Amino acid sequence: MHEFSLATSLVDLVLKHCPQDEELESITVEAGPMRGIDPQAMQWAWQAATDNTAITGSKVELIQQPWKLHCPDCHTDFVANDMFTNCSCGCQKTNPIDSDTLRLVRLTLKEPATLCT
Amino acid sequence: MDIPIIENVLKLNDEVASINRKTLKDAGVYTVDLIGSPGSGKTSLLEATFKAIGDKVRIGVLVGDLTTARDATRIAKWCPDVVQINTGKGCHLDANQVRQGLDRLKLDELDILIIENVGNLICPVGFDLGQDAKVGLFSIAEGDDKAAKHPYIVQEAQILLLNKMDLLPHVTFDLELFKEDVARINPKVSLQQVSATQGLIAPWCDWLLSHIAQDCTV
Ligand SMILES: Nc1nc2c(ncn2[C@@H]2O[C@H](COP(=O)(O)OP(=O)(O)OP(=O)(O)O)[C@@H](O)[C@H]2O)c(=O)[nH]1
Ligand SMILES: [Mg+2]
Ligand SMILES: [Zn+2]
Ligand SMILES: [Zn+2]
Repeated sequence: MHEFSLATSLVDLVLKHCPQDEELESITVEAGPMRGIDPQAMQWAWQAATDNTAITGSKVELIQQPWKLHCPDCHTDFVANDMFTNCSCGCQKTNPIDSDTLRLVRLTLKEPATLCT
Repeated sequence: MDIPIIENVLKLNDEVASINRKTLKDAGVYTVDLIGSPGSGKTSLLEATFKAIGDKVRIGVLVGDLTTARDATRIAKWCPDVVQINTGKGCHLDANQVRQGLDRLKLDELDILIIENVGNLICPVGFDLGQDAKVGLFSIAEGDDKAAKHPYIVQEAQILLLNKMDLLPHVTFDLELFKEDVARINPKVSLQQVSATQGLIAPWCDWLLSHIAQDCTV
C-alpha cells in the first residue's frame, strides 16, 4: 500500500517529464533506507499505477541507498548497512542523517526499432 | 536514451503543503500532525486533550480514517470543529486532502489544529501536510522495539509520546531500551510518557500550550 502511494505520486511526475511520442522503458528512483521501500512491492505498485496510462509496461529501477550515519564524538559521517552501526572511533551513539531521499533520477526511453527494407 | 532528472518524488504534495502552511500561519493556528500505529491511542489522546485543556484553547480536529466515521463521532462529543477525511484505500493523509479539510473549518476561530493521521507509522511520515510539528505516538502495548523498527517517525517528530503507561506492569516492555533507541535515532527529540485513558497527559498539554503562548507574542 505504502509503495502504491509513492507509485501514484511518481506517475504524475513521470508523465510530466516523458516526451509524448516516445515509449518509456524504465524509470530510476533513488530511495533512502528511512523510506522502507520494498523493490518487489514497488514493481507491482508501479504496474498497477501505470495501468491504462501512456507509460504502461515500463519498469522501476530502485537504487536503495545505504544508511548515512553521523558520529557525535569524532564528527565524521559514514555509510553502513545497519542503522545501529558503531563508529570506528568506538562511539556507540551514532545517529542517522540524510537517509530519507526519495527522488526520481532518470527516465530511460526505448530505442526506436530500426526498420530494414 | 536516458533523460536525467532530479526531482523529489513528493514535490507535488510538498507544493500543496506549503500553501496549507501559509493558510494556517496567516490564521494563527498551530498545527500538529499526530502519527501513530493503529490503536496506539490517537483518538483517546484527543479526547483526553479536550477534557484537560478544551476550555482554555480552541482546538479543531481533522481525522483521517480509511473507511469509517467512528473517530470523528467520538471527537464530535468534545468539539464542534471536527472534519472527517476518508482516505479510502490511502494509508496516509496527503496535503491535498488536508487542503480540502481546511476549507471546511473556521480557522480564524482556532488556536490549535490537530490532524489525526491514518493509523500507520511509515507512509504518513513522508507526506508533508503543512503542519508546524509532527508528533509520534507509540504505546506500551506495541512492544519496546517499535522505535527501532520505525526510525523515520522518531527522526521527524518534534515530540514523541509513549502511551498506555498504565499497562507497564502487565506487559514485557524494556523502557530503558526504548529510550536508548529513541535517543540514538534522534538525540534532540523529547520523549514523554502518558496514559490517555487515565487522563495522565500533562507533558503533552504543556508542550501544546507552550507553542500557542509563543505564537501570541509574535
Ligand atoms: N490501558 C490503556 N488503554 C488505552 C490508552 N489509550 C488508549 N487506550 C485504548 O486503546 C484502544 C485504541 O485507542 P484509540 O484511541 O481508538 O486508538 P487510535 O490510535 O485512535 O486507533 P486508530 O484510529 O484506529 O488507528 C482503545 O481500546 C483505547 O481505550 C491508555 O492510556 N491506556
Ligand atoms: Mg483513531
Ligand atoms: Zn502506506
Ligand atoms: Zn566517531
